[in-house]
Amino acid sequence: MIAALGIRLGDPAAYVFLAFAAMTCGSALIVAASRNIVYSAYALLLTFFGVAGLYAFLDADFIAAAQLLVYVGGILVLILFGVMLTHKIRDINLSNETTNPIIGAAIAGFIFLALAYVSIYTKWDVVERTASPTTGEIGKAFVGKYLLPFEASSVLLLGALIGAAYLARREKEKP
Amino acid sequence: MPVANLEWFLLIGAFLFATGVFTILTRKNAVSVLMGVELVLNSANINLVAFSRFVRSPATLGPTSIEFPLQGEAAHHVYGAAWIGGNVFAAFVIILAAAEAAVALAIILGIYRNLGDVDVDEVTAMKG
Amino acid sequence: MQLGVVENLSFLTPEILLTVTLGAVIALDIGGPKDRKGLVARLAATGLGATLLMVILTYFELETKQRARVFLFADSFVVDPFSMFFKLVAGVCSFMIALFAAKVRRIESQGEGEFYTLLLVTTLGIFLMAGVTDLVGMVVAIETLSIPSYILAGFYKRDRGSSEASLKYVLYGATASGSMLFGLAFLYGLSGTTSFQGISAAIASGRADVLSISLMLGLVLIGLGFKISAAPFHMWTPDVYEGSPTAVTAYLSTASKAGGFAILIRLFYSILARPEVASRPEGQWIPIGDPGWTTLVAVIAVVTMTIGNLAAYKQTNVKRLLAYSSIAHAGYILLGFVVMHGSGLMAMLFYIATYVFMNLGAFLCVIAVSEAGGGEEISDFRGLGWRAPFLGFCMAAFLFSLTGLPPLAGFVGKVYLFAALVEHGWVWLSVVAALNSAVSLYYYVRVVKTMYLEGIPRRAGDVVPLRIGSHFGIMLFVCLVPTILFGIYWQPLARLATWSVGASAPVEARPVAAHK
Repeated sequence: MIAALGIRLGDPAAYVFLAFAAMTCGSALIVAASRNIVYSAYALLLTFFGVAGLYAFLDADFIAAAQLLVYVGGILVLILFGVMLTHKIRDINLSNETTNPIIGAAIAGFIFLALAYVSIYTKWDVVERTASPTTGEIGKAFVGKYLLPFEASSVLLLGALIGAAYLARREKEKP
Repeated sequence: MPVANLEWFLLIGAFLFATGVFTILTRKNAVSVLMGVELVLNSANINLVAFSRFVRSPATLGPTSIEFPLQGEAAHHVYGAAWIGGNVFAAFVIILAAAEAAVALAIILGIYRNLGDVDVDEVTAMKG
Repeated sequence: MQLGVVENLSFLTPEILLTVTLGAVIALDIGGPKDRKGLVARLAATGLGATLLMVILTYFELETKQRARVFLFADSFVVDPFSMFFKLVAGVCSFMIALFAAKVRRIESQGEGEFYTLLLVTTLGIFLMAGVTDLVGMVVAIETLSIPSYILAGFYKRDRGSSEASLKYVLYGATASGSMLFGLAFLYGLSGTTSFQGISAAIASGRADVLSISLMLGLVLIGLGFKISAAPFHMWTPDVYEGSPTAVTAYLSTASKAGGFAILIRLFYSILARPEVASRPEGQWIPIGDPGWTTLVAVIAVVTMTIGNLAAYKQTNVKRLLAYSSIAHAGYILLGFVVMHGSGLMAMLFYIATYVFMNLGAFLCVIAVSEAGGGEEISDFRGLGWRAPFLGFCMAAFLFSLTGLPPLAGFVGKVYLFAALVEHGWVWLSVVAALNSAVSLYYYVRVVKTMYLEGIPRRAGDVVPLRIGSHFGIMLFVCLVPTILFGIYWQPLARLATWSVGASAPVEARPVAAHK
């Protein structure tokens, strides 16, 4: 029975994993369901942390660190700024209402079932492999096979930087 | 191997994707929609990293290359292991997500300055 | 140690030149002289022109060296005639847009440097989209096109329509690319590799059932369908096209769409099909795994063109009308996709090349009219045929070509598409498409009618001329020549498209000698 569940419950780490999984899914639900946008933003923080924990369970040390640095330290802070800058401070009725939650839930439920079907019924070619550090390999891949996307993404980041600065900058249009 | 099977991670990914889609569909606030997008991107990343950890990867680096001089062991040495593909992919997704979030928030702030509101439903200068 | 990379770097000259131009534009914008009116535009246009030249030279190099394709970066990027064709199309579009935008006063006053920087980044994205054969490269290339496009759509910061367009674009776009990423993650999981070739092998192995494969590809199709604005992922198109600066709209509807088609053909024909005879990739193709996807694409094509044509009817804004028309044209182009034969692909390439000129031309007319003080509503075009005879003639030619009337380029493109369909047993599809073309005649002609049959001057002296300036006049002429020429003498373009298709074979097919 326990083997059929696909999780080694004899191992204490399994319970930590379950805690992380519950944290990820639970906080994602709060993000989706909360009527208060500030609660959503803080729940998103927990989701990002939970996902980083899952990466750690998948022995992806570099991605786990990047998740914490970029998502929690960067994107989440950006989103919080967005939340705060786009709302008047005294505005109590934070505009975060759902438009058609029942239809949305039906669609989301259908999508989940479809994806769960794909996830479970596909014969993934799983292989036993001992974990090894990923950072060095990722570095080699960046300057090897994935050199072109790596360079392209630096150009992309430059463009995004210039564009975002342009949009946020004060108007200099002459009359 | 990790304490849980591949399917556990895939189901968590599917769940995050579904909640992300729900958020995108039901929210009027542009910042909230963006949060939904971040959930979707995270779900894709969970799947990528999970596949990278569990799935057998063919030795595709090098050998089939026609113009590439390095083969076999040498190719592995210089260009990295094939199994790392999912991790590298996830790293790129994080880079792109950061760029996308920055641009999206700059646009949202811009529209807020113009309209004083960020409700997607209020964006109605154009109809039809 | 990586000598191979350096050796083959010469095949990346267009991309490198583009990046160098990008750097030069930024440097000039930051450190250039203060009174540098139009200098940035000229630099960007020169760089794009040089890039175009390099694309053509590389094209010839591929032919003369008898090498149909060159793989770079461990098979993750390919330089072949197919990718060069799309680089040529996208390069021409960017070059033309750079030239139009140089005379658009509002872009100049708001920040030329930023505009051309973003334009060059998107062009680089399309160039990469044309050649990638790897999931990671594909995603990065698509985002390199998309993210700067979101900003370009909102380039008129103080304009309500423009910022709304950019908000819609970024929210829809981010959702579409997120779904696509999730689908690509499954494809990666199926094969354990990010290369198209490995994924093709994994799908052929039958490890996933038809339903699962369809779901994975459906998710991917959301992202790609968004890029080419195929139904049902077209909802963003009218609003974004109407609100964006017209130069940007012209870009989104031509170069950006061409890039979307390039990656769509490359991905699907690499992972889901293989040529019947490996040495003759321009012939019949055999589907791998689930053969049902051609029917799905056929349905998408029909729905796309019908929605586009029916909605275009009631439009009163020329940009919005052209937006729906461009949705319909995405439907026509998709027709070539379902044929599973080299002739269908060739028809797609031919149609894209001709579509780019007529669509650019039509948008250029809109820019020229609004720069001369006119508006963007159809009613603003009243009597335009009399007030600006050359512009009126050009606009009529572009619209008739979009309809597919002879002797214009759009007609030849449609003939190639329909012929490919009929030849391979898709008669019902060609009938639906022909009916759609007939329907589209109505709304295109309505614009022409407004230009010529309304507001006719009573006496010769009553004409209030609309001066469009020699710059726009020359640019209009440049778009007009291919629109008419490829309607009369289309064989060179057809030969180029056929040769380019010859090398769009999936990666695992043996490299074939260059086709003559």
